[in-house]
Formats: sequence, C-alpha cells, structure tokens
Amino acid sequence: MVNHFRRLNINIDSLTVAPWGGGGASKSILTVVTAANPRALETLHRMLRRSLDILEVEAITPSASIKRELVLVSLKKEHLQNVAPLLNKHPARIVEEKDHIIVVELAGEPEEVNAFINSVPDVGLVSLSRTGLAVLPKNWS
Amino acid sequence: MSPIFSGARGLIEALKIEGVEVVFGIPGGAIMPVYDELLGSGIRHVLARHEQSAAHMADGYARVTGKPGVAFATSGPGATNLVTGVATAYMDSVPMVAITGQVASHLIGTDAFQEIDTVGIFNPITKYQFQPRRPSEVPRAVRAAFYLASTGRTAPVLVDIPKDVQMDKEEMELSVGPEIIVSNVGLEPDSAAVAKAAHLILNAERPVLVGGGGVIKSDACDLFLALAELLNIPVATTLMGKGCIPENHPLSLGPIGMHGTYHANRVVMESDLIICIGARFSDRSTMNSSEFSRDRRIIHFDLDPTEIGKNIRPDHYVVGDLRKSLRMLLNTLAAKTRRDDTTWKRRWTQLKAEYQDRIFGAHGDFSSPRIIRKIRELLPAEAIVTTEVGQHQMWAELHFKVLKPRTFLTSGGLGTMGFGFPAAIGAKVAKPWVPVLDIAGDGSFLMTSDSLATSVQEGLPVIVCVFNNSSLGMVAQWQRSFYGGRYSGVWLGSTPDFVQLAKSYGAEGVRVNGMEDFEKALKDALKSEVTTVIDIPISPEEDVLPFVPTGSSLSEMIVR
Repeated sequence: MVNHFRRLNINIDSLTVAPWGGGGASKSILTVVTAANPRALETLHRMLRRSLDILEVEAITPSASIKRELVLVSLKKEHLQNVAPLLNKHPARIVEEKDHIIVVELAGEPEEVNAFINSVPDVGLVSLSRTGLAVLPKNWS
Repeated sequence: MSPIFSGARGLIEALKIEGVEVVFGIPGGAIMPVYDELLGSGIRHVLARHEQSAAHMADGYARVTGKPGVAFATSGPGATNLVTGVATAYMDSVPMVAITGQVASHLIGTDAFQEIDTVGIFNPITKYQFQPRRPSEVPRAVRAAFYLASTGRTAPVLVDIPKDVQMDKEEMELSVGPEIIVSNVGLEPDSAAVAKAAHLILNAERPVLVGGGGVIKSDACDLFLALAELLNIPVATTLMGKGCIPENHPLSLGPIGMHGTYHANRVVMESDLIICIGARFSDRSTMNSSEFSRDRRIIHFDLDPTEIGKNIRPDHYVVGDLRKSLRMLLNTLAAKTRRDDTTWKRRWTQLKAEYQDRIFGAHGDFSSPRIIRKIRELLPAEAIVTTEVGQHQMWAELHFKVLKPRTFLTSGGLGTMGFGFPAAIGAKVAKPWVPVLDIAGDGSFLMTSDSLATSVQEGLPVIVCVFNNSSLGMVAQWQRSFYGGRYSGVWLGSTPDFVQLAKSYGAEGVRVNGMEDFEKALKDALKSEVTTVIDIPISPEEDVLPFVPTGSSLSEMIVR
C-alpha cells in the first residue's frame, strides 16, 4: 500500500494498522493521515481501490470525524515535582511507577497530544511512543 | 486420498489442470526442480534466449488466444529480465502467469546468490503476487493466479516459488478453488445507467463510437459491430482497439490519436457525443484532454470502475462486463428510433471519402506507408501482424487495416521496443496455421533479434519485415520537429547486415529494393518453412504523418 503513496509522492503523516475485529482475524484496518491536493488524492483513492488486498477505501476529512491518538512517555522520577502540573494541565495519567521511572499516558485529540508532547521534555523525558491516529467518521444519520 | 507430490510436481499438475499446453522460458538454478518435472509432462517448452522475450512470447500467445500465457524464469536476473515483458502485458491488460524460481526459503533476505525481492519488484506490474511457503500451497496459488489473470480486467500474475518449496514433498489437493472474491468479475451493468446512455445516444446529433482494447479483451466485437450497425454511426478505435471492427467496414474510420487517421481525428472532434467502449482515454489517444471533452458529451463503458473519470470525466458512464452492457444497450435501443442524421452522415462520410486513401508525408512508390498497404494486400484476413515500437508501428497503425480481432498485436501502453518479434513467435505457437508477420524497425528488432534462435529452433516460419532507416526513426522525427534537427544518439549506422544476421541463425534473409522485389520476397516468405527476415531499406528522412504534437487538440494535425 505504501508504494502507491510513494509513486504519487504523497507523504504519510501517520499510519496505524490493527486487526479488524477481535484477534485472529485475517483482515486489518489501516488508518492513514495524509495531505495532498484533491487530484492526487483522487488518483491515490483509485489506485488503492484497484489493489486486491484492499477491500474497502474510505476517505475521511478531519472536520467530519472523531480523532484520537494515544501517547506513552516515560519520565525520570527525580522530576516528579514537575509531573504534577503536567497531569493537571493535560488529561494524562500515570500508568506505572517503578524505580526511577514514571510512565504517563495520554489519549486525546491530536492537538492535545502534540501540546502534551511539546511540554514533556521539560520534565525529564526518557522515551516516548505514540500510536498515530484512530479515526471514526461522523457519518451516522 | 490426495497425492503426495513435490511443489514442482504440484505446479506442473496444476498447470495441466488449467489446460496449459505451452510455456515460454529459460531455466536456471532456482527453477531446476520445475524444469525436471516439465520433462515428460506433455507441456511444450519454448526456450527463449532472454527472459524479456519469454514474457513477450507468452504475451503474444495470450493476445491471440485470450488464454493466459505462461512464462518461466529463474530467480534474480531471470526474474528481473522478465520485468519489461510483464510490465508490457500489464499496461495492455494481457492475461499472463509468470512463474519464477526463488532461492530456498531460509536464504530469502540474505542477499544469497541470485536472490532478489521478486514479489516486491513485480508488485506494481502485476495484478497479484503469490509466494507459496509450502508445497501444498502451490496448486492453490496456481489456480488463483489463473483465475485472477483471466477474469475481470485481465492482467499478469506472479507465482514466485522458493526452491525448497519446489523440492519438498507434501500431501496436496490439486483441484482447489481460488477462494478469492473479486468484485468486478462478470459485473452486471446497471439497467438505469444503460437506459440513460441510450437516451443520450438517441438524442445526439453527431454521435461517434470509439472502441478500445477492452472490446477485444471481452470478446465483445460482434456486439460492438451490431451496435455500430444498429445506430449506423461512424466508428473510431484506439490503437489497442484496432480490430474491434473490420477496418474495411463502411462505418470504420480507423484509429484516433497522436498518429490516428486524419478523418478519425476530425470526425471525433466534430462529434457532439463520444460513446467510448472499453478504452481508457490514454494521453496518446485523446491528446489534449480538455479539448477532447470540450463541446461534446462523453459516455464511458468500462469493466473497471477505477477507469471512470481517471483521464476524462465522462458525462455518463456504465460500469460492467462489456458483453452484458452492450447486449443490454442493444436491447434498449432496438425498441427505439434514432433521430434523422443525414447532415452528420454526409459530413463524416465526406471526410472519410476524402482522406481514407490519402498518404500524408512520404509519397515515393516504395515508401513505408505503401509497403504496409502492400503487406495488407498480400496477407489473408486472418493473418496476425505484430509490431515493434516506433515509426513503423505508427505507419502500421495508420495504414494496416485490421480485419479481425486478435490479429494485430502491439505494445500500446508501455511502448516496448523489442516486443513484436517474440510476440510473433508466441502468436505463431498459438496458431501455427496462420501467417504471422512482425512489422519491425531496425532499432527495435535489434533489441530482441536473439529470438531468431528460438524461432529457428522451434521451426516457426515467422516473417520479420525490418523497416530499416539505420536510425531510431521516431526519436529522429521528434528531433527534426521539436529540436531544430539536432540529431542526438539516433544514428545506428548500417550494421548489422540483417540478411547475414538471419542466415547466421539458420533463418532466411533477404534485402529488397523496390515494390516488386518486396512483393516477391513476401510471397516467398509466406511459403517458406523457416523464419524470414526481410530487410527493407527506407529513407531516414521519412516522417509519420499526420502527427498531433503533445498538448494539441486531435484536430490540430501536422500533415507535412
């Protein structure tokens, strides 16, 4: 699938892959966040539809969808006094504390996630992992 | 109980179940178990001299028969050499199954000798790629490959088999379903969409039919012709559509495009409705696409939903199997009457009458257009003509009237020089009782002339007419037209001597000077039992005309 993006010179900003349905399923759901001009996106859509491995393609615009991303960060415990304000400011929570490390998670809108990530280096960031976007279109009626 | 076979044996048995009678290929280290099983299998092996040619042979066989052609190659360079041939077939929607050997499973990813990521390389040029991981998966992969190659929009499919999978033995089911669901196979057209198409057709003042390669691929030429005759409207084709209507038919205008006929291009640009069937509006066919669709409506019939709106936004479209769509359209139209169109008929018949025999450009008695018209005169209607790519191909497009479907094989999409001769070999293998002639240029022929070894070894009296201008003529023509006559890299010199080249392979070689000479040579070749190469010296100054420059409208043709 990535080859189609490469052929059209379209960047992938975020890509998530997960099994469709609960475990053991042979189908996966992929969510790709990308930006390109409408003509290129139309060509991309056509190429993806043509691929036999891709069963369905849905184009979702940001404004008409619910977007969530999860980020995990591990922080040095010595900065604990700085972590509290972080937890107050952002909807984050501590998921694990061990030895010198605290692990904090945050799930939210991409803006929230970015704001959170921008503020963690001040509090002794050790490592960071983020999932990329999960998106649900608001096309229910 | 299911048999216990090696993967190689499973492959051969599965090919037999598919009805494969011949494969084209070259052996090598990673496909030796398959070649061992091939012996005594009853499947004929045609030994190519380069894998690209093996793929073109399989392609020619497929274009003539409608059945998937099969090409064999070993791993690494065998597979990469296949690429151009497979890509050629992919661009022209030709059914093919390419079977490659791969290094043993445990060596994949280690940069082993002759290891390459064949599946990765073939991903963009095949409909699907299979790599069976155990012997029992081989027959299923073969079944699925043939199913995918030959249904829906036909295309090449790859089966890449690691050597250990070829050698290991396992209990296996031979007759297995493909277990693949593809949405556009035998797709029913929407009757409301067909009814609307009929309405647009009946209310058009100046309609024209344009048939593409899809009409031929769908074996829908009879229905296409019935539609043309029912409507009694002019019919143009694309290059790939040549043969979907006999080109000596009163309604036929010949092909449109960069080197379409003068009258076809004019009639299409004077129409108010284009009914396009099984064509993809390639840039070479429509030229300036906004001019092409300006001031007229377009209805697009196609099997492949992803073709709708790709190059041209149609005013209306019908997606579905073309035979079903055409039959439904014919039924809908049969009950109705079309408005009187004497003015339109007078106009297009006048254009056709004025230009159909006109030769633009080279006027000499022994010029390329006249030689090609002479070839048509001397060949029976069912003869198969292939072309290479370049000026000779465009002269063939303009001047060789195709009378039956599947008798004109050309690389329209990829434009692959070297296609014509091996494709002719594949065609001759498919239909040995029919004359097969390759209209070639000297530049193209040199790219795969080593296939002479194959055609002589297999005893195939294919005829190659080399339009020899000692140059890469099409590029030279563009350099004359657009680069102020600054010739760069187009002069081939007068080597080799094609007569001696042919003879060195055990083929016939003859050089002709003048039409009588040529006529005699071709008649002799048609009676010959060996391959004949006819070397036809032509002027390097000859241009293919008419010629629509890139970016121009179809009606803006250069004629001198």
